[in-house]
Amino acid sequence: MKASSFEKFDYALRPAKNMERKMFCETLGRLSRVAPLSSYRYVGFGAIGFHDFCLFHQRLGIRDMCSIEENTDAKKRVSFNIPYSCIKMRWGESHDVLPTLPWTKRTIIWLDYDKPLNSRKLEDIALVSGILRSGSALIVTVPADPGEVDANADMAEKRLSDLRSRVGKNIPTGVTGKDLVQWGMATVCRRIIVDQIEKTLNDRSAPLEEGKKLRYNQLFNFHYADRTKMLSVGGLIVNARDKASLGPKHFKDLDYFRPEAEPYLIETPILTLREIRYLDERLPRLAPDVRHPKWIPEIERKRYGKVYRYFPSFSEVET
Amino acid sequence: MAKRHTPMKEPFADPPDEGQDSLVIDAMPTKELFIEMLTRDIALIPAIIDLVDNSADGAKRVKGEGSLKGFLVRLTITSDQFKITDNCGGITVETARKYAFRFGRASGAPSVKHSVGQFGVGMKRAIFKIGRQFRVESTTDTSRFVVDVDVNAWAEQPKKWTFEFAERDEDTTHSKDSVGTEILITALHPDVADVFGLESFEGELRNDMRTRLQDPISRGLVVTVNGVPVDAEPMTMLSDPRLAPAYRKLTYNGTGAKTVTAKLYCGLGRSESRSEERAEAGWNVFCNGRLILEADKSPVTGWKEEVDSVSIPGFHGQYNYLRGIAYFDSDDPARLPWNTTKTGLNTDSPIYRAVKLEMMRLMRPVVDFLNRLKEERQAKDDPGEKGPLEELVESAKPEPVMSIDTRPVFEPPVPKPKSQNKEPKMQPIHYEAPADQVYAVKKVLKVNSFRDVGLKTFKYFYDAEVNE
Repeated sequence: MKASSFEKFDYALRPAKNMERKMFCETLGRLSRVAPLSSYRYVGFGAIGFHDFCLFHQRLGIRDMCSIEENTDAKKRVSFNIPYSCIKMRWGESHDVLPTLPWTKRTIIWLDYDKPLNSRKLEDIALVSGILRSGSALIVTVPADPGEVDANADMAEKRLSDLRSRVGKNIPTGVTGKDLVQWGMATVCRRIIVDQIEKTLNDRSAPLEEGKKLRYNQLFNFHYADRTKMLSVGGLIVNARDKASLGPKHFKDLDYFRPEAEPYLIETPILTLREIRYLDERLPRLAPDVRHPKWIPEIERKRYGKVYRYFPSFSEVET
Repeated sequence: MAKRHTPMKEPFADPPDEGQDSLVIDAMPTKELFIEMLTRDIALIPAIIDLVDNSADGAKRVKGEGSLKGFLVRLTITSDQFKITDNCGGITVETARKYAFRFGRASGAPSVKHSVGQFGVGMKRAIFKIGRQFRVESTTDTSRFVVDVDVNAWAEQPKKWTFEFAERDEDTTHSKDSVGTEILITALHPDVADVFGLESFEGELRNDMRTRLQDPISRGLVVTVNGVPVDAEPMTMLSDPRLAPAYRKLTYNGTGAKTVTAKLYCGLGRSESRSEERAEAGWNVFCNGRLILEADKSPVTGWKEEVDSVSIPGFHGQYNYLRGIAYFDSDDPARLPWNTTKTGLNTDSPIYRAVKLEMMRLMRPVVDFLNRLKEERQAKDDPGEKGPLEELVESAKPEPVMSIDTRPVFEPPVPKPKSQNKEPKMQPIHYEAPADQVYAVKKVLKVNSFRDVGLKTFKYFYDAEVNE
């Protein structure tokens, strides 16, 4: 039996992941400049929590939803947890399921992998980039942890050979093992993913006229670590017309908008519920540089100032 | 009334006169170089098929896209002459004078919808490939001409880039029966004469025509070689609705450019005999009806390029059932992804780059299905027994692709999981242990055989440490 990540952690209790989801949702709401969100389709990996599905249905009003689930041994359990009747299950590995989905609608697709990037995932990314219509959004999340330090091994060498064994010739030229420390693995993975998207879009657009050519416009480049280091990279696939209605200028106000290589680090403040309520009363007036009260450590205040609109407050009763 | 010796249009301007300007360098090609270059990159059979393509294009010019019934191309091939005769509309004097004999396609040349001829070299190249003396006679309903050329004599006149009409009538009326073109080539190259004399040649030619010309032949064009018709073999795929091929049509328009359509089919097929299975698997690519790539299993059609990372795996025996067909069509042949000899794909073609992504997408579910079929075969205990997928594939019937109900994506049936009460797969273990310890355990377990010692100790450990 394959162990899915939903059997390892409770997604609801991963605060950075939770904030990331809300940021995606807030940003993707702007797709309505291209077409009504109710005309969109959402494709994701809902697991047993379906948190992304709930949020996108509630906030964006998307009704055509498809969850891909490879853990066919847990069919009954997953099916029991489907929160809304508009969510259709497709059983199997994304690699097998994606080519069989209809792609006629504009789509928001979140390839939220729980295993590191490898060539099979790049094939998914290529396939989706090759078929998504203009005005669609593609987000890819992968664990991108450099791995625990092993004193007996040459870590730089080990990290590079590990990455090479997963993505082969897709490693950008010039990348060395030393580039893969800390967030370096995420940085390199982003380059590989974006290259795959752009390469596919170039092939696909080759016979099209300038105005119809499809481009990738990056919106997200998130780094976060609820446990291991994660990368989420994604953006819009747009032709010239859709880019005119929804271009970079329409996202500039979002603090976490990242159109280039520079990442946005989602950091989780450690605060009590009382402290959160106290700070909230002073926000957004103080944001982002929350200088008071001094008895809350500065680092926590500052972190909270950046993310307070997305920060989940957990209590014992699930609401 | 026939006028003689009317020069046809000259493809090259006069070479510069060296005496007048010493700064000018003569770059005029020699005819021998020209003839040599033109014929070097094409094999004999494709050159002959080019001539048949020209006839088929003539038929398409008359009939448009529909049936080609009533059109006939006759090839007569012996060791001393080659003759091709058709009733496909003929070449007008005007076309002959301006375009048909030019080396290369003149920019103003009229195009035939969905034609194969494109580069304006096919006829000349084929003629030069075969022999040194040719006679072209062509009759349309309003004109008739004859061109008779001794290539050796022509090549000896380096500056003369013209041929002459031997006979020419214009504004005359000709009966329907006499309309058509005949090309007679004599003074065959010795090596060509040898090949034409071989018993096996006709069979080879016939085989190649069967595949390369399957589109026009299946639309009704009759092609005969030495009196015997060539039959087309339409592409087949398995037609069972559960295994029916995926179909997708893509259209590329461009401002000021003719539309290109690509029709893609991908599914399963089965060969008549096991020995042909591998040979027939893969992708077939047609451009305006001409088979350009046959049963391709290479990176050109999306199979794996390198060991580590591409979507479609490299070709293996398990994929022998895979059949893919891509039909590219355009009124402007120059937009199609073929090379100049029409024997291969131009993989840099923008349209091909885009269509290939789609071919790979259609192919993936088929590949997945064939992987599952392989797993099913490997998992079965009794080699004589057939699994549900194998049963399905073997009972499905191949039918011509055009008559199968297709679907947007190949969605293979998912086999039902094996019934729960079936015996689990067993794995034997062999090991040795010190004899006194084994006897001691045997005594404690109160069993009679060493087999039971092994089984009981395994079960004891499994229940205690593994089973939840």
